[in-house]
Amino acid sequence: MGESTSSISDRFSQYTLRWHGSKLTTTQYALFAIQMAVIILLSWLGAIATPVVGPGIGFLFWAYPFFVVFTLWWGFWGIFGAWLGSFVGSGLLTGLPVIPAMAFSIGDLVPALLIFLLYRGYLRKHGVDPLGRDILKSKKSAAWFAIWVMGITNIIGGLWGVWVLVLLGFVPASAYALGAGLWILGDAIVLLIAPFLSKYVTPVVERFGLINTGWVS
Amino acid sequence: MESKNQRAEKRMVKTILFSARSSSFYVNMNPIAKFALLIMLSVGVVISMLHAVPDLQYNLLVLVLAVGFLIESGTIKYLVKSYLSLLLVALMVMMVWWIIFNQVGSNPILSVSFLGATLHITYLSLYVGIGKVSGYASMALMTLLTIMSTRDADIISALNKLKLPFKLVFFASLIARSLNIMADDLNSIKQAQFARGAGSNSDNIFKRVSAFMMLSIPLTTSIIKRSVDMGFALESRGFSKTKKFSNFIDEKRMRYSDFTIIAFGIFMLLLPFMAQ
Repeated sequence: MGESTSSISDRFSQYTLRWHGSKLTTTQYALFAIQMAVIILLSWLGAIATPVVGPGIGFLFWAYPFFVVFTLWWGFWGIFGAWLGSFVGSGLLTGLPVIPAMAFSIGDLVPALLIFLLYRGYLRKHGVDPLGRDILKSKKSAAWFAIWVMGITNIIGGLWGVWVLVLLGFVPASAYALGAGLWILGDAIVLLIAPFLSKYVTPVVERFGLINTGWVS
Repeated sequence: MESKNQRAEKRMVKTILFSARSSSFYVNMNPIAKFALLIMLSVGVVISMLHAVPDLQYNLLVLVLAVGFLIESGTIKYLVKSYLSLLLVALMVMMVWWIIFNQVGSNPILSVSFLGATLHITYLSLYVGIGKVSGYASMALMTLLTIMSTRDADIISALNKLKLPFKLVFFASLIARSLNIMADDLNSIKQAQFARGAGSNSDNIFKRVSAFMMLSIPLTTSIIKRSVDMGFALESRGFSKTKKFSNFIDEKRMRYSDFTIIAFGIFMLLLPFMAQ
């Protein structure tokens, strides 16, 4: 017989939503800076080396699966990295001005935050791995990933991003639905990478003791 | 033979993206003044673009200014090599979207019927399209100019001047310096995969995603390895006990020219309001 839900939840009980603000090691300090540099780099590549399908809309945003997994591992730092990657990498470094880039980046910050809250809060207590290692194994986990990560949070990010572009006069208001649709579809495609990353690399990161058990450390 | 002055003229410094002429006025501008100018001009252009008919003259003025400083700082060649095709495609897509989805004006120059819908191209819709495209281009070039003419040391110096905590400033400097290192790592992994027959340059989206998937795992493990190495290196130099930078000498003071640039930025910011 398989493990009961309560024993699975016990195994995940160390990964919580506690703050843990004062326990950062020097290795973690370096790690969080480097992961942010990688998200900035991938966000930049996602914006300049992918097909442009609309004003300010690239089709494959490579940084998305990375910041999803980094958020599950590193909480606050992953969420902050998602924001910084979008603001600097796919914003400033691609020529998007400061104000649009700032507004734009909220479209990555909010999904990352919602993903962390759900996985470390509700799903952890209901037998779903808070680090996403079981997405390829368990139907329940795969369904939550499809609904919450590829669906709801991705849709929120897409609707927000294109709304900002309309608000700033980059995209005509009548093209809002088309722009948002292309954005959401492109991100959903690249998000297919996240479960693999989570399954194969999480054990390595865990072995080094580098996974946050709370928001900060 | 080149004179000493000519050689000095050609000397370049490494910036966040690419490198720039070390003797350039824009490169040597105080980073606080530079970023203030960027923000003020961006706000000005956004205000111009928010009008039903954008202020074309204003957008073109900012565009000319950006191109002028790109030439002066010696960064225009990098922009042409790395960004021009991307920028042209983005601007073309923007123009097409504005012509298709913004049916304004009377007296069409051209009417096209497609699948029962009729598309009218008028003088007004073209003018609005050009206004939007010029605004976007001017903002893009100003931002790229700032990024391509600023060194990571300038950012650290500016953050230091703002009296931010040492750990925060050092964290920002680590991010800036890791960008190039991780870009090199990513490139090495790509080349290693190509040498083994993996990787893909195909136009098929799913093939590109699967090629990227193969890249993502070694990239993530390289992040972990670099962090562990860097953590040990920092700790062996007593990082956790350090309270401030020991000898940070690369500081830029605010000069009269920086104040003039900020005053010019304020004028440019007010211009769209005065024109209303």
